[in-house]
Amino acid sequence: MKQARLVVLVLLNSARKDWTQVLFTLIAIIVGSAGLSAVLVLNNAAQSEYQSLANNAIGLPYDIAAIISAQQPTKNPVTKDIYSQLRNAGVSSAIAFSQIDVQLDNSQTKVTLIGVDAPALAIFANQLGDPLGLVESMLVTSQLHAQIKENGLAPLSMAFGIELPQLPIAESSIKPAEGGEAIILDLYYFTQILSVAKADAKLPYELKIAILGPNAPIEQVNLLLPEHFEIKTLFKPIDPASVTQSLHLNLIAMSIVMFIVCFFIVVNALNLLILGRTRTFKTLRQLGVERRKLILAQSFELVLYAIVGGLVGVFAGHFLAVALAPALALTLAGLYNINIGFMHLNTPHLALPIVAVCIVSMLLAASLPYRQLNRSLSRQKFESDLDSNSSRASIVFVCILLVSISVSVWLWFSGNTLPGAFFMLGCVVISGIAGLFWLYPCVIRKVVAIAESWHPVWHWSFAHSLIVANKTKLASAAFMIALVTHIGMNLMVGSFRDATNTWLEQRLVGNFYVYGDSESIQTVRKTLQDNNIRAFARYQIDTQFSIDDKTPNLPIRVYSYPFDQNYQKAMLTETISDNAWQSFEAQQGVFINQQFALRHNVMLNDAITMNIDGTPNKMFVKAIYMDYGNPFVQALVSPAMLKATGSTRVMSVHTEDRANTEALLANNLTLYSRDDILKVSMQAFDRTFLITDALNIVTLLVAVFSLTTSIILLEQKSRYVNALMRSFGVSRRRFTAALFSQYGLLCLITAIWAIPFGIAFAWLLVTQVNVFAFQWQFPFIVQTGPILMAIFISLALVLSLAAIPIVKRKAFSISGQLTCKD
Amino acid sequence: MQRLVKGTLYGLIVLGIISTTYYFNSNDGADNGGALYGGLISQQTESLEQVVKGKLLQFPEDHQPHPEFAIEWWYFTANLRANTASEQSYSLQYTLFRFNQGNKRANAWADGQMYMAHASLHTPEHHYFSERFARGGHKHVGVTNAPLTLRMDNWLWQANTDLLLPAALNLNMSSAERDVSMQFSLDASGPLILQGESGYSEKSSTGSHASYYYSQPFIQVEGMITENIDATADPVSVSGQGWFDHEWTSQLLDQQTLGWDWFSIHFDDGSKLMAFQMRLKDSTDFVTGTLIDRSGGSSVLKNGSITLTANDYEIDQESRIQYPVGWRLRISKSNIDLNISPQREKQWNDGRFRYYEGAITVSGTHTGEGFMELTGY
Repeated sequence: MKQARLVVLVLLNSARKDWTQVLFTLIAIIVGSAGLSAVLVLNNAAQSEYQSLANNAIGLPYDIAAIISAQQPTKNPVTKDIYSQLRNAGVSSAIAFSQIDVQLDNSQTKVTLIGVDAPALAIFANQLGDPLGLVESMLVTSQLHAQIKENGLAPLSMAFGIELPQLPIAESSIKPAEGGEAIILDLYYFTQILSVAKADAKLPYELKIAILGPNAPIEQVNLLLPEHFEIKTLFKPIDPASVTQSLHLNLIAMSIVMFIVCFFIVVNALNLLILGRTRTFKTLRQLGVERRKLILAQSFELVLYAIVGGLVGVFAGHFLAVALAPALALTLAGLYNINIGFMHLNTPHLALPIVAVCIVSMLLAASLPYRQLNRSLSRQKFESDLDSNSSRASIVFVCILLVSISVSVWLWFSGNTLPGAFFMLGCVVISGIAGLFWLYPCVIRKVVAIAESWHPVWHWSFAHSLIVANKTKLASAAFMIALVTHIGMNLMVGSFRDATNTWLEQRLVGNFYVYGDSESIQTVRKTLQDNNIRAFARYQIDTQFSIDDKTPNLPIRVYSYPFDQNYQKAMLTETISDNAWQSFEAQQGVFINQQFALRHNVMLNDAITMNIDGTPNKMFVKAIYMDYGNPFVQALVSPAMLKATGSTRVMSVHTEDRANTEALLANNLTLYSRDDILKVSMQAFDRTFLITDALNIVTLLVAVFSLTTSIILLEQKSRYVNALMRSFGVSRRRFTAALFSQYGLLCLITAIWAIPFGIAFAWLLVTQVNVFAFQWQFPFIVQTGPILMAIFISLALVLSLAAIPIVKRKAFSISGQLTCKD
Repeated sequence: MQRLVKGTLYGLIVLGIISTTYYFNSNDGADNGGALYGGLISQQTESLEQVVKGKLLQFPEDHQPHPEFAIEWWYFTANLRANTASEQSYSLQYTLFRFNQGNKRANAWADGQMYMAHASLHTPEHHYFSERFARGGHKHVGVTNAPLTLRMDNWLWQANTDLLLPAALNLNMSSAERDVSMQFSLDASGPLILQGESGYSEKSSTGSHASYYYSQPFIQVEGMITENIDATADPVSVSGQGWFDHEWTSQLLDQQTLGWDWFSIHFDDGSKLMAFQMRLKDSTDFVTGTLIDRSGGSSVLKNGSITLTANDYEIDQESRIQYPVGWRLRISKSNIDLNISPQREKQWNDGRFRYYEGAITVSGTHTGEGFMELTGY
């Protein structure tokens, strides 16, 4: 025991000398652990906050199936009697609520006051705790909760200009949909603070009714309500839990890539660390310390590093998550039209599992250097027959390659699932790595043969690169993974961007677009038409559809679409039947988006039934149109079908005269030009993929870092050969150039080899992962720009970092390098 | 009287539990403004109207709510049998509570009253239970006249006139993978019974607490119970006898009250018995009741004239509550010696608070059936 403790102390002392290797190891662990924990924290927060967000209308954690509001709140408001009518009819899942926004005087914070009929929530008590607490309490979001805890209610009341009731206060994790803070309380108190408390029949606010799910009787509600009420169905075509799943999978996949790359760094760093201590280990062996004890002591030291690095990584991950949260929120907003604030990033609970993963990974990473150390200490003959090794390895690599391709092909024909697609991505990467190891000797031998007639140093340099290639396999693999994913992601995002831009340019037919409420748009449309300006309002209804008797009524949002020539040309379709537009105009044909077709396996000329204007309409699918970025199923019908009942929020205007158009608009309407919308859309797109770019670059940097550590290790091991070469009279300049050419050759082979695999990776992302995850597809375009940029940046980075050990080598004298200290 | 105790304790228990829930656990110390137990019931009952001896109850007016009193309930139970050869038994409970919230002024949303309703049905195979809450001042909750209507959403007791009976009762409930709807027609075969002294019902031996309390124990029930199990409807025609109570007061029980055991019994000979035992801390139990003959004549059973002894128990494994479900009930002066046993196991209601409410079978000197309610365990 004492001996073991002494050995540990010796090793820890020698860590001072080996601080660079220790630092490499720690950095790698920290980076890997930070990446993993950041992604897990963000995923966790996104999932839990999405669940909350889906219910933000009433500020409580219930599934809302629909919201009833008045089309003209001042004229025909939702009343208590309407509410009673629903509940008397047995719609006990109808919950009255109201919201008003107030601005805090002393800050920009927007506070939403939400009043909910809390007693009515009792029937859901068994599902989600005790909502009746709300009867005599208030829920407030975190920031306000902290303020109230510190200063009490009075300052808030003063800031609002209303008197908040003196009720017990609890913290809520649910935020309003549009951000800011919220106070949720029973409608009785909500009414009390907004009125002079007279039992007047008229409510001092706009009442709405939420119909809570999951089996909400929407059709019954439709029949019960007068026509002037709007029933907005909250779409859940994707299960709430899985809405963001695809994005989470992407993030997890990227974090795993990062973790694997970090693992390679750790292996390299441990090689440096452990093999650098060979002399110390030999001395300890000579003093009688068993090999087993040496390995155990070394492992103890590594576990310490794993714990420290893992913990630091977890906290670094937390800060990374906080920093990335806004970008991820933009991504979610861009992809799913949902806004998540990531207010509750819960990191500490991840510390233990991540540190455990770090320890296991560290010990796994140490196994290879341990094997070499073991041989060295036991005086076993170290295998150095590189040729025989290479040929044996080549066979293994070819086998791996064949197996990977076979599995990929098998999955292609049999597995049509998201995990299957991810496995295929993995197969592409593995195939690439296996192929790379097979490729290295083939290409290098050819280059050596070509360089035979060149200067001997160059010949030696290329020949020696085969040894370098064998000794930097792990780092090369990491570099290959990073390059393939980098090229793949860039191509995918590039294709998506290109498709979105083309699609938007084609679809935006109008010169201007007017946004506002339904009533105002209808009025201004008439005014514009009176002024001989063509304008098309886009009507929409939320309704249900069924495909056949087996498919139950499912929610869908239906839009109108003009059918004049310009709009027909603007429609970007996946497939369209010959008589599509005639049928569309005759109100017999319906166009559905690609998401609809893929999700419900609907094809051209299939019949679907949609409830429009209270009656079921059987229509035939005449076109399947592209609808990039939309997570929901949608359909387009002739405007005549929705004019009577549909509401509208946007209208296209066909005129060059902006000034005149603006003059005709009411104050509450907003006018955007086509170019404005294009610009804003593409800016939103770029913001959406900011996080992907960031992770991409981090992965590449980590891979380059990994390769650099390998080169450092190699430089250390090759110093005798290098010194010998220098002693033959090779100038320092020429020798440095020769070394650069070695690494340059390897990086170039890797980079060129990564291109086809990167393209395959991107193709899989576009045609498989995207379709399975989002149910829509865009054209895959191989753009040379992103590929060349990825190659150029990575080569520049590798060679720049490789220069560090090569240049550092100059500091040692030839005699110093020739001295054997191992 | 038992009903008052029951109702009050319902409120206390419900709101006591509420006060310990998540929301209240994170109370930051803000004053609750005088509202007691989550606001369902007001602490300031002294400012409300009090029960006084000698007041004459008038009908149909007194079927209506008495919002100036703190607490009030309308309570109905029925022992039913399927109109088939098997004569399988069903037992039904429907209760509507009203709480005056004291300092809550009426506003445009609510009238300062809170309502709570419980519905329970035991079929031969399943127990349905549901509870609902609503603030007063809405057309979907409360008690109204022309005709007399007791409503909580679509749980509806609707009489033909302002009188209590005849009436129709519609209820529905759902649980996992099944739901039930019930339509009953109710009619009276006897008179209303004023409990205690002409409806003035004392609640404790000190006489400091009382309620206004009347019953209708002579209710003939006919109806249809339709269970939907896995989307398959299974309608069953049923008939039987029901019991209705209406009670209101502003006087809360003192802190010594632990709970009560309450019984309503339909004897096979057509007579009825209401008996309850109030369990008091550091005091002997307060046991009283009313014996009603088949023609509606009633006699008050004063404290001491009834002996109640528990002789069988059942444990609710989930809450670990042990309920005394078997009883011996003796009324010496009336030569009544009864054995009371539950008609089925697990007849407790799992709502915001747990209590036992279930059908019983009576044997001994008299035979019959009825309902038993056990609280405070």
